[in-house]
Formats: sequence, structure tokens, C-alpha cells
Amino acid sequence: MIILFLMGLWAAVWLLHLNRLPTYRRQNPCHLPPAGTLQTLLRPALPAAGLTGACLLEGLDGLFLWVFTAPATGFLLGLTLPHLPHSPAPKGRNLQNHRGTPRYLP
Amino acid sequence: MSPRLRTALRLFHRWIGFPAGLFLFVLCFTGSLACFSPEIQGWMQPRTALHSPLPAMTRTGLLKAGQNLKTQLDTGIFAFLKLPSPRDPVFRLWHYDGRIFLGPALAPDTGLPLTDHDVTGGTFFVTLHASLHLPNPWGQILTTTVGIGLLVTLLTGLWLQLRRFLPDLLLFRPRAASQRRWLDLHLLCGTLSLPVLFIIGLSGVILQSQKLIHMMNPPHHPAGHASRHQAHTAIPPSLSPAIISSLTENGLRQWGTVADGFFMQTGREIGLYGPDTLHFCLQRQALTPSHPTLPPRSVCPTVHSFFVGLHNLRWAGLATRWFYCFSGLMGCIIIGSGLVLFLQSERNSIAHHPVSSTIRQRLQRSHEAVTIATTLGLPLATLALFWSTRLPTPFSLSPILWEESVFFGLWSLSLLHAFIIRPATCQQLALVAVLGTCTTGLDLLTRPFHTGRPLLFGAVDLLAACLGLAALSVLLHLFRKQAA
Repeated sequence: MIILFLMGLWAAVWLLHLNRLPTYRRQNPCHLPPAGTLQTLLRPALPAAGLTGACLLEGLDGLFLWVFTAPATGFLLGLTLPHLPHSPAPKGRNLQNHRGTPRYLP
Repeated sequence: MSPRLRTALRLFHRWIGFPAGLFLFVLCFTGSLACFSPEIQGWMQPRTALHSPLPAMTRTGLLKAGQNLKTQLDTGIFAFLKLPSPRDPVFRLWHYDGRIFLGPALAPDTGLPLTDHDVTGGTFFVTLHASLHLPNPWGQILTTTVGIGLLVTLLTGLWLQLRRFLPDLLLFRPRAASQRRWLDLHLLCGTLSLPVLFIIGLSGVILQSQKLIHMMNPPHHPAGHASRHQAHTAIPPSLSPAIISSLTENGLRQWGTVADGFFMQTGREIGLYGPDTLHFCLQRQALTPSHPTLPPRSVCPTVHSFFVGLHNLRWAGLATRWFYCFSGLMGCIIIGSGLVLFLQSERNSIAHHPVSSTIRQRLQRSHEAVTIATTLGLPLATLALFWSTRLPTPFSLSPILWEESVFFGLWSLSLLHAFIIRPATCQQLALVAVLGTCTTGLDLLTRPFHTGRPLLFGAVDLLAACLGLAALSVLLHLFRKQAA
């Protein structure tokens, strides 16, 4: 049960992180509403709440589960997200030509 | 970052990462297996899994097992008696042969032997992880050096990726070019599990360094002290049923449980050591007939005990151990993808210089061969070891000798095969796929169908099947690429 709670929580944190990135940086699809004050507050609050909850519920095991579920969830999300349909790019703007777009290999 | 610094960092990352990565892959893979050492022992010895419901330890069983321990000690073998626990529900009358723990498994209710032959077991992977089965101190020196290599590679990798660390944290483009895809996978796993890998690596380096220091300056032991590394004891201690019963009762009073504890000679007496699972820090305290109670002790008595707790996670629950094992496998993905990237960039470099020397091409060939032997040969040898424990031993060889020969022989053959034959990758992938996917069939054919631990067998079979299917999917991908 605690694992599902932690994985759900980390998934939310990673999605909030992606949502915070500028559009030209957001290579993986993320369909959350635009980042606002609530999301900015939630992003640091969720891991802290997860850590507290996991430690209270499972003690030392909870602390380690909190640590281990973060990369595991991120890895699964990173592999899954590119296969989901992308949101349409903003009109009249080629994202690859944006001056902030990083230069990648072909 | 200046281009000169970037070039220097890339050089360090590549040329420390590649040689260290070959050994680190082995350490990560065997470390992941070592998380489930007792379970692997149970899979390899299916008769010790018993029938459902699992019998509990009884006084009769304990006394009979104690009698067996006394017999072994009297014959000069430095054995110890591990008590049943939920992870390993039988008595283990083990001794250390310098590389692995071996000895009979005894029924928890009767104390009678359960299996007719020893197997290499889970401790084989623990030793491979700790010292690569090399003699002391070379194994420790090598693992310490490789561990330092891991830390250096992680730090240089972090420095190289620092600017893009957060923006590219979850970036993976499966439809990009091959090199970009491998780099994305390398960075995805590397950045996400960087803190975990750093802590695991650092704690491992500290533990191995402490071992090396102890080898150079051996700690002083009182006269008559015996250790598990000794093949023979000088004077066997007195071990009567009354002593065993009283020590067990004291242990139950002191710790609440004796499951996973063990009886071992300490000084001139027999001692009951508490379970390692009770505390985060390793606290090897023994109750003896002359010291029936333990004085209060700090939570973490030494720095060593703290790092053992942090690195081995013996105290952790099942879920935490699964995630720890998964972190080790993530380490394998990072190192494996790093090795592939290294080979690709070397290949590109040779392709861009048409007049490459023969030596450089041969070097490239040898890099490819050792990478194949590490990333494919090791899983192949591991699966073969699992198979060899279930199949009859040919000729009149000792089972342990045969199983170890299968493991190391197949691993060496994998290296030789990769050196000699060009499409070695496809052939070895096919072998991993066959062995991995057929493990479930082998398991069902070579053990009693009704068992007390169906989840144990199911989990090992499932992991082997996943390994086989992963190899099969890579193989199919390679075939499709060749056809295109």
C-alpha cells in the first residue's frame, strides 16, 4: 500500500517538474494545466509529505522506500511518456528553431 | 564550461568508466542477486522449501541440530548453526570453505538432514560481489579500485550533465537515432539514480577499504578465539542440550526472537548470536553460558556497523529489498548503456579515420569482446549455474565443483566466442533467451509440484523469464534492423 502511495506521489512530483519546464524543453508529453502558484507550492511539498508519511507508517523501511521509489517511478515514467500522444505545439512557432532549444544529435 | 574542461571531463568519464564499468556491471548484477541470497539458496535446493504449511522450529529439532553441530565441531570443522527464519525456514549447519558457505540443511521440526548434496547457493554471488572470487587481498583491492572508479565516473558524469540535469531529467526519445537513444537511456537512469548509486558505491568502498586495513593490521583476538575463516578449531567447546535450551531462552528474552540467529563457537564457549535483522547497524553480540545477558550497547557501535547496515540492508523488509535489487539492475542498465556508447563512439572515430591502424582496430575488437562477455556472458553463466544446480552432476564430480566450473567455464567461453565470431551478440542473446524462458519449465520438472514456498519459485522463474524475454526482444530488434 505504502509503495503505491509513494509511487503515485513521485509520479505527481515528476509530472509537476515536467510541467514547469518551458515548452521548447518539454520533449515528453505532459497534459497538466499550466504551472501556477499551487503547482509551485506542491512540487517541494509533496516529497516532504511523502517522506514524513512513509517514516511515520513504516519507520526506517519507509525512509528507504521513499528513496528507492523516486528513481524507479521516474524511470518508468520516462519510458512510458514518450509513447503517449503529444499535445499540439503552439501555433505559428517552430519549437526546434527557438533560441533556447538545446542542440541534440540527429 | 570551457571546451577544454569539457574535453578533459569526457576523457576521464570514458576512459575510467569503460574499464571500471566492465567490473561494475558484475558488481551491480551480483549485488542485485545477493539481496536475495537465502531465497536463491532455497531455489537451488528445492527440498529445503518443505511442504505447506511450513513447520516451525521445535525443541526436538533444535536439540538434534545442536547435536549435529557438536559432531562437526568435534571432528575439527569450524561449523555454525543458523536458525530457521521466514526467509530460510530450515536449520543450516554451515562452514566457510574460504569462498562460500556450505553444509547440510536440517528440518526445523526434526533436525534431520533435508537435502543430499550441497549447492553453490546464494553465497556464491555474495562472494563474487565482494571479491570476484579472487584470492585475498587482490579481490578487495580490485573491488575498492573499481568502486573508486564508480565514484569518479558518477562525479564526472554529473559535472558533464550539470547544465541539463534538471531540464532533461526524464528525457527519453525512443524514436531518435540509435546513439541518441542509448545516451537518453544512460542519462535517464544515471541522473535519476545518481544519489542512490553514490551512497551504495561510497558505502561499498568504505567497507572494502576497512577490510583491506584489517588485512594489513589484523585486529588482536584473545587466546582461543576462533573465526569463520578457520578450517579447524583448536578445542571444541562443551555443547549440551541444557546449554542450547538455556541460550535459546535467554535469546528469546533478550531479542524477542532468535529466527536468523546462529550458534557459533566464540572463544572457548558456544555462543548464540542475535539476528542481523533486528537493528539497522550490524550488532554481532553473542550470549554465552558465562555471559547469559548482554550489557546495553549504543544503537550503532562502530562506523563499520553503520555502513554494513547501509550497504547490506539485512534489516530491511521485502519491498525495500526488491527496490534495492531494482536499483542494482538500474546500475546495470547505466553501465551497459555506457559501454555501448563507448563502443559506438570508438567505432565512429575509426570510421572517420579511414587509415586507422590495425592495432586500433584490434583494440576496438577486444573492447567489443569484453563488453559482450560482461553484459551477456555474465547473465548467461548465471542462468547456466541455476540450471546446473537442478540437473544431475555428470561423472563423479563434486556438485559444487561442477556448478562453479559451469559458471566460470561458460563465462570464459562467452569471451572466447566474442573474440572469434563476429555475430556473437546474436548467438549469446539467443542462448540467454532460451535459458531464461525455459527456466520455469525446468523448475516445474525438477521439484515437487506442491511446495511450502510457491512465491519464491515463482519470483525466481519470473525474473529469469523477464531476462529471457528482454534478450529475445533485443534479438528481434537486431534482426529487424539487419533486414531493413
